Amino acid sequence: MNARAAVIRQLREKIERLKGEPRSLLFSLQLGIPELDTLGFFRMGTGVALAGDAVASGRTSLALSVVAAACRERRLAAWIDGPKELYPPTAQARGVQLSQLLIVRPREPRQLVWTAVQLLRSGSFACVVLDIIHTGLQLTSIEVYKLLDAARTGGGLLLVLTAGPGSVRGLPRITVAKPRPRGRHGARGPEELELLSPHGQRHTIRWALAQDFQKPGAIAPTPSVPTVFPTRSFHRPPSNFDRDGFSVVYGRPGREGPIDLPGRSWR
Amino acid sequence: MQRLMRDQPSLCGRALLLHHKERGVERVAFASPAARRIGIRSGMTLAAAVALEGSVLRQPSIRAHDAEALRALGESLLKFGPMFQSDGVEGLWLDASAAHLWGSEMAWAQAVGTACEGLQFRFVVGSERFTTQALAKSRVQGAVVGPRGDGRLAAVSLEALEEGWLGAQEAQPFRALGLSTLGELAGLSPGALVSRFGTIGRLASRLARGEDESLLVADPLPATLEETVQLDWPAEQLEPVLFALKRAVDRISGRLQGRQQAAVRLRITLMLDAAEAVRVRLLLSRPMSERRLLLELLRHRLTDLTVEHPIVAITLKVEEHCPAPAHQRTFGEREDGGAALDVVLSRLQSTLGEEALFTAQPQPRHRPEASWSKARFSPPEAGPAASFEMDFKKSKAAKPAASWPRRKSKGEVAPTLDDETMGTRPSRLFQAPCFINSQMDAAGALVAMDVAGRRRRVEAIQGPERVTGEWWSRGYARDYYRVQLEGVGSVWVFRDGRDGLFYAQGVFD
Repeated sequence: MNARAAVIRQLREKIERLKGEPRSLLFSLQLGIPELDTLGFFRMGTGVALAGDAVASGRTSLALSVVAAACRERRLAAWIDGPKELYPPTAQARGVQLSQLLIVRPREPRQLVWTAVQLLRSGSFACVVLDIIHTGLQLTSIEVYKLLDAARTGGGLLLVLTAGPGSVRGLPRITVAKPRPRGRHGARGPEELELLSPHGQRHTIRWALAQDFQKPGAIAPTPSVPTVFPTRSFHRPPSNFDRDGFSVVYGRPGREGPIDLPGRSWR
Repeated sequence: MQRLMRDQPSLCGRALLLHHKERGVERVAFASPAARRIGIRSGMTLAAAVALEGSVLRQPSIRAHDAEALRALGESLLKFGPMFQSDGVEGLWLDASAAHLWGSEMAWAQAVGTACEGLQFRFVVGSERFTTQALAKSRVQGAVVGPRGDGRLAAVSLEALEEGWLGAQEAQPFRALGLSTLGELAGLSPGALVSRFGTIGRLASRLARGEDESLLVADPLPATLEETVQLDWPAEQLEPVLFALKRAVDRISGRLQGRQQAAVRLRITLMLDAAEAVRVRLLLSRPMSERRLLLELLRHRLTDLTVEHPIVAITLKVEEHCPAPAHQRTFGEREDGGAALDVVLSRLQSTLGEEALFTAQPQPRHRPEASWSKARFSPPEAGPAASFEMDFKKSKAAKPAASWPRRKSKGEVAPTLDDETMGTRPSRLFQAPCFINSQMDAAGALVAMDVAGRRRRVEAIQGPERVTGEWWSRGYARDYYRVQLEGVGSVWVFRDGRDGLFYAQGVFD
């Protein structure tokens, strides 16, 4: 009986010790891209602006990779979607666990910063993305101070997606740009990202999400469209209508893979 | 009296009496310790009490409020037993059939006492209702007695027989015989008592010996969970309101935990002085019953509120509740884990609206804008044992290899598109496809597109990816292309089969 009591006492002490230990600390989010991780842009408790001049410069993809890194660490992430344009299925395909991603879409742009401050200050989110692209919002220095203070207090990472450098004065900024496809008809190979660090250094990162482009081929001529997609309405045809073997009249339902271009007819 | 002291702390330590009308005469129902020191006793007429001390505070005794408070206390103690029965406005019987879970009846009683912290009470654990009530009223504190009271009933006064058993003043005939305690009554022959006093004599004889076969009749639980707290005086600042709110939250939380329920939606009604009441609703991010969390959330909700008139009372009502979800904590997880998350989610919901916060859920639809839906954000359980596997991946793994589609069983989740396909989709999708003016050459090749007010040269193109479906409703047929535009980047455009025009639907940002 004494031995049993001693074991129970030891176990109780161990449990108390485990309870008293600090939680596992996360100092930075690792994206799994050595060239990028060594730069140490995404440290916890700080804020970074991801800017890009072009509409499709790669800011969102980079932010999604950071969120995916947070999800790999089994932490929560939040995406404050000002323009209401985030496409979650793509985020999931890039490693984001949707169950760990809170998406917030405030009605008014003026609520964006307040929302970010609240989420950061709570300390429950490892990464908070504030998307202010196309919202017309320009962060004042006071708002930037509040955001950075909240990130420091909560220990989370703040990413601000912005179109140009002018809308986030006072925040360390990474300028993201995708190099144009090389060659006359585009390049085959991995994409690259050009990052301009807050200190003005230019880094070229080979992006993991390779997308092969093709040269601008011949799009199927307009007259051919009606042969593929009948211009008549999509109402259900009469029962004696000539079906194509797939129970629908204008093609197999669902999705078909990319068709090689050019010079190949669609049907 | 205790309820009044807790609700209005300014009354603590002061001479206070509660009076009620009895046969047309106002009498003292209860007196505070300070009033008793003056000489005021229960049953004394109000005029006599005031004559003793003119400055004594007087309040009417509202039995309905007292009974309600007692029932709330009983509900909060339901975690110690399956049912309770209130005894007027002073006592409570609690079913002790679960006492063995605490090791002993005394340990169980002490646990109940800990839950009643802040209240002055006496408890007796016994086998009969009469025994426990009589001993508790006779100032026996913290006793566990066996069947028939283990002989401890002998010293109890005959008054124990009256209220709730024989009736008011029904023990007077026994007193006329010179009897004063139950032990003296139990010493008389039962046959003699029956022959002299009839049914009352028989019942009195049995009770005096501790023979009570009456059963515990559980009090019904009210359908609505609601608590009202009156403020001492009309409040114009937040602090007294929060103080009153804490009392309401304490009671509601106790009642919820006693019922093993958790609140989902709350409503606070602020009764204003000479103005219409103000109602504030709070939707919780997850079902919860912890008083500290509830109070924190309500405090944040009220902090942003401005009312034009002083607040005189607060009513807290649980509009929606559900069974409390069990939560197994892991090693290293703190008791307050997730509290900050709940607070911030509730605050955002209150300010931005319920629809502004969500998480995404994949849907088995080919139409890109319909391939996901909003779902309520409920953060996964923390800890190493938690699994973060997505449902859609499980469904993908369970996809049958049969070539013919089989009929889906009820509840089966249809598989969504795989990651490889979704990886080719843009990261940003416009809320609605927008028409894009395009230019083709004579061979039908796409040359340029008008974007952002300028004509942009097409540098590269990828596609098409043909997506059709939903023939049963409006139907759609699209050919999607990823087009690299000069100075813009990659844009996701599609050619609509209905009109042959190009529409931009997203960007590969």
